Amino acid sequence: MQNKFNAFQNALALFGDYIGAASFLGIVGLTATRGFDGLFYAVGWIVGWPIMLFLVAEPMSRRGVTTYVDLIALRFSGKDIKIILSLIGLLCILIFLVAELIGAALLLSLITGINYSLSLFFVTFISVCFVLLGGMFATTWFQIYKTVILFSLALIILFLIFYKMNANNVFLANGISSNLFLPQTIFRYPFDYFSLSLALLFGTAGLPNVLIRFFTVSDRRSARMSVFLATVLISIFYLIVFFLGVESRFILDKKDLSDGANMVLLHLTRYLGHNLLFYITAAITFITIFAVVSGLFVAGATTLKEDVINSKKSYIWAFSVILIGIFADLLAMIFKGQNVAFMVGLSYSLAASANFPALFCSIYLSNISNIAVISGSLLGAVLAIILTILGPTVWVDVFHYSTPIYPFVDSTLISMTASFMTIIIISRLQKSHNT
Amino acid sequence: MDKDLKKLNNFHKKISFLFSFIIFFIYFSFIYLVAFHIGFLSNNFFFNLNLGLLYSFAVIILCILITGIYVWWNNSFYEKELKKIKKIE
Repeated sequence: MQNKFNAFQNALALFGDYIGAASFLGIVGLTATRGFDGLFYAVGWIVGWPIMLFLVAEPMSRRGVTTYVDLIALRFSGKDIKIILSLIGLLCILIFLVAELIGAALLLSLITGINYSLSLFFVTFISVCFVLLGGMFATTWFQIYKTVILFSLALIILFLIFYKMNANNVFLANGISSNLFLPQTIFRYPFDYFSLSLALLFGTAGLPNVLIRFFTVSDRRSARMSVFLATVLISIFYLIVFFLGVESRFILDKKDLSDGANMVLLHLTRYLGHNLLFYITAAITFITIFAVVSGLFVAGATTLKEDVINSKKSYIWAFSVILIGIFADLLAMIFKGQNVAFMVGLSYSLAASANFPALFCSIYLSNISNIAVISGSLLGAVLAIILTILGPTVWVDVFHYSTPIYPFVDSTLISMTASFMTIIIISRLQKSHNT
Repeated sequence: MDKDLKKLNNFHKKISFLFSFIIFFIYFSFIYLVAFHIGFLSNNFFFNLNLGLLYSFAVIILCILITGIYVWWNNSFYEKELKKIKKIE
């Protein structure tokens, strides 16, 4: 890999890789429209980091591998396991990528008036060019700069709110006291709380694009320190953004709030700093999305080139980037109206159900067989996708049936458990079969 | 040297699991409260700030603390022991 970064730079890059539109626009909008939900998601996204560091990143760095597929391949010989796990990892990346591209394209078309498909093509094209020209190195620096810019913007908006509101003192209390901040509005069933929590907790450890970033430092001490710093930065950022959401609820009127949760922050900036701040925020949101998208492209192309196609030639990398770009563009075209946060949630669920069990079992359990890991991973992936399709977000909202076949929004509790159990049971069966 | 290394890594593994378990416990007790005891979390402890907010902030801060302790322990104790073992060869 090219130049290494020090701990603080890597922390900024981790932040830049992780915080995208869903965290910036999404949390503000969610908090402003639904209250406690925003904080709930934020907490889940924060808690995933320590888990990733403790359970997954350390063992991987000890064995000297950089991608989780390499780690699994270290233990099991055979091409098929590498290819299947890489493809599932690629699927996670692709879903995430599509979600971010949809967000960027919608934002662009909303602001400039260009139609969606053209915006989408434009956004994808620029991302692909950037990644082709710059690779991992440029992507990392871009993410570092983006973090600094994004953080500054968040602080600026925060201070503007304080400045405007210093007359009426207890805006904070007024904002929070409304019933909105009681955590009952998210899910109907307790199952969903636990399930989604598992997805957020373990999905972070199973997402390839963040994990790869752990290894762009020179040594292990810096790697750990960078994860710690990144966690601190992310926590501060989420708290700021949550506060912005609280204040938006109080400051903006009903019309702006009902415009769609993703636009709340932009309305807030228009109110605080008129058109100037609005356009600056829009531009910085684009930068944010581009940074995450570049990271995803790099992770996806690396996986495709090294693990699936298994080649060392550099033009294969370019080919992978373009191929992923085309796929992502087509999918984003198909899924145009979809809820971006939902797709990101599906990506996490998939990562937690398919990638994480395979990774965890390969690191910590002995007597695991090749086939067990493959089956467990595939089962987790298939269940995660099918149960989500049969659930209310797709079956009812998209296909317009009256009742969902699978009653819960999130599938992780079932799919991840099934994945783990499959791996363990099949290994047991194989062991007793062999002895 | 190999045996020492294994012992150290086993110890490290146990510590990692312990820390992870602590995080699980904190996080899932929070989720349990959110899922089943909404009313409790809606109580206000300080003027208009409710307990749900307090717990969320507490979870976040505890996470940061625990991660910090883990990194500190690793970077000082574990790396020192590792160096000691590797030097003996």
